[in-house]
Amino acid sequence: MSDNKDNNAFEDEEVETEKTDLPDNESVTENESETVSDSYEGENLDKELEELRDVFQQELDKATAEVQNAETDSSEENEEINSENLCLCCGEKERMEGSDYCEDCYEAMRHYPFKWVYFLVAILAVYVAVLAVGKIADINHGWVYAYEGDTLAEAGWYEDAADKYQYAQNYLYRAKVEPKMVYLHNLQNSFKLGGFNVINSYPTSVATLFDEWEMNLPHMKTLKQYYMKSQEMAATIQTVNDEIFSEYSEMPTSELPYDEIIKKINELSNRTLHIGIDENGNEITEEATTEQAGQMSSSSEVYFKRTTTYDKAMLEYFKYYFAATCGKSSEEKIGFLENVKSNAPEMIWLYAGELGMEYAENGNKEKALELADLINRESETDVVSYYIKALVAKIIDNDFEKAIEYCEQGNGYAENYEFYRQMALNYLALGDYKKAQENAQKAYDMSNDLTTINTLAFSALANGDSKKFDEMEKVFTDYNADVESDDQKLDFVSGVLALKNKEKTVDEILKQGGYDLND
Amino acid sequence: MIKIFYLIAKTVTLPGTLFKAFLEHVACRLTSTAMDNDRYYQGNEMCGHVEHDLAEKKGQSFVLCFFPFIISLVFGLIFSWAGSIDIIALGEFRRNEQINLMGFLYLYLGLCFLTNMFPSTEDYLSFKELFYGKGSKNVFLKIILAPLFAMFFIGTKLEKCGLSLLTSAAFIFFMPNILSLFVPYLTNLVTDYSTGLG
Repeated sequence: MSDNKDNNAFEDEEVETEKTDLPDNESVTENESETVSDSYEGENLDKELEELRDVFQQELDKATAEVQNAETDSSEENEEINSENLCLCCGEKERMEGSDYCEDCYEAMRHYPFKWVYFLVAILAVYVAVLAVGKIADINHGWVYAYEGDTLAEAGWYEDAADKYQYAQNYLYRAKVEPKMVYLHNLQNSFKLGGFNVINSYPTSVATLFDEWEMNLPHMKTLKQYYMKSQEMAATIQTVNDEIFSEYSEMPTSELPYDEIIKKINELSNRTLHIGIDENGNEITEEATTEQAGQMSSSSEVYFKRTTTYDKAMLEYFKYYFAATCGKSSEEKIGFLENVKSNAPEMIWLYAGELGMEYAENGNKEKALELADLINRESETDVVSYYIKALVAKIIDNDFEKAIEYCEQGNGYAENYEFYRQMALNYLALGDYKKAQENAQKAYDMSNDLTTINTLAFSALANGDSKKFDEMEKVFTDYNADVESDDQKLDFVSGVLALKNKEKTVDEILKQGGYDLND
Repeated sequence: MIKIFYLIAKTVTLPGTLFKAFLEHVACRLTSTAMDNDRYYQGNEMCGHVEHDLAEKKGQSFVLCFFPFIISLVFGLIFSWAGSIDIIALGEFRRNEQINLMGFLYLYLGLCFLTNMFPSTEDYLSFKELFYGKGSKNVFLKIILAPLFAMFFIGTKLEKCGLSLLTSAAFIFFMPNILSLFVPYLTNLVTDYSTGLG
């Protein structure tokens, strides 16, 4: 609105106001009112309205802005408060009361998914476990046999242990398993079981099953000792066989040059030899011609090579053997066996039985029983201990009933013809000739050798059974018919002949012969 | 130091570590227990275990502790039985002129699983609180679970120090002796029975 117009407007307004203040508006003249209305209408009115509109708009905008600002502030404040309660997992929703997670996330966490790779690991574990169960099924029975073998070996039942080990090896062989520990225990058991056959084949058996480097492992220490011992013993047996037995095998025992043989055996103990195993598992023994150990002339590859001497225990045993063959004194035989014992105290099977019997027959009760106990401690089932005790009871104590008892105990473990023969002799001493003949018959049925034939013949004579005696006599007659030389013909021992010719009584013959029928 | 031994034992027996954690994960799913993460191998005391909410109920705690334990134990016994008999008792170190890899694998897996069969310390404590805490009055249940609790107590302590590796190795070494107490008898019993049937 222009100033002029404004002034005029104001003036008009003042006039208008005044006019309206008047109680009686109608007092305004028509001319004046026409003038005022003319001034508001038209251009001035529009302008004024426009101005008012602008003012109102401005005020409205201002107020709206203020309201909006106030709302914004309050919403920002709300947002600051909610972020502290947002879920730790998703960060969007509010947490549950007492939890760090919202309801949806917590529910998902209760069903946490698996990673596929761990499923594979689990499936693989199950697969390998199934294979393991199959392996257990394959080897379990074989292991049980081996365990039973170990238990029997520990208790001294070496023969039964050997059977169990063999079952184990056979079973595991079918399962294509190479049970080295079973081989080891079996070989250790075999060595304790003893015997010349075992000793001869022992080195080859060991070399076939184990490599040279394996023999140096800690758990193979005992087997390695057995192996080395058996090598030397086998070499000794071979050399004595080649150099002595072969030379005198055709000679009658009465003509054997005892002193010469003993001298040859003594010479062997001074020799050095190389021992080894070839690639085929055969033992090689060579006399050492050079001082350098380990040099062997064999062309094939040699394993387990070493330089050593002949086994002294075995050499002494051969001396005892020839002394017994040549009928030397008990003291001399005992001397050789005591040397065997001092050189190889662990090889009880080699000396203890013969030494115990020698002491029993020589009247040394204490030493005889000591050796019997030694044998029993090593192996409960070794019947030689009962045989020695039976001899002691018969020869030294003259307790024939006790002797029969020991023989029956021995038979209980391993039936043997010699036990029946001894029972026959003891029954003869007791005067029970019927039982004597029964037992002598059992001995003969098990083994018809010279001792059993003589014992049965003697028992039959004592029992008055001439038919049986004639039967035994016919055995000799038939044998002698094919023999040309008188030296090789067989006949009863002197005791049997004495009884047959009624030169002496049964008691006299037995007492004279140490309660046995010897020539 | 103890933590180092613990982690060494867990790393050496990694297959068992992962398998045990997997079984704990399965147990959590079975009991609808919320898990924080699925990291089976971590460089802390939770290595070989999964982080999850503490059990609130007895049944939940029992499953969380016992399920992974019994599965690991069964697998461990199977593997160690096969391995110890094959390698230690029978001495099958080689097979067809080569090293008996499967036998040694069985031994190793047996060691892994037996080393990692016990619950975590938190699970054990939760078990203890729920079954033997002040609020628990069921004496019969306490008696029945006593051997298991004792086993968890000892095993958790050993595993925490990494000693469960040594005890597992010793157990596997003497396993043929342990098996010999009853396996030959049972084997012969079965053999006699089947022979009798035949």
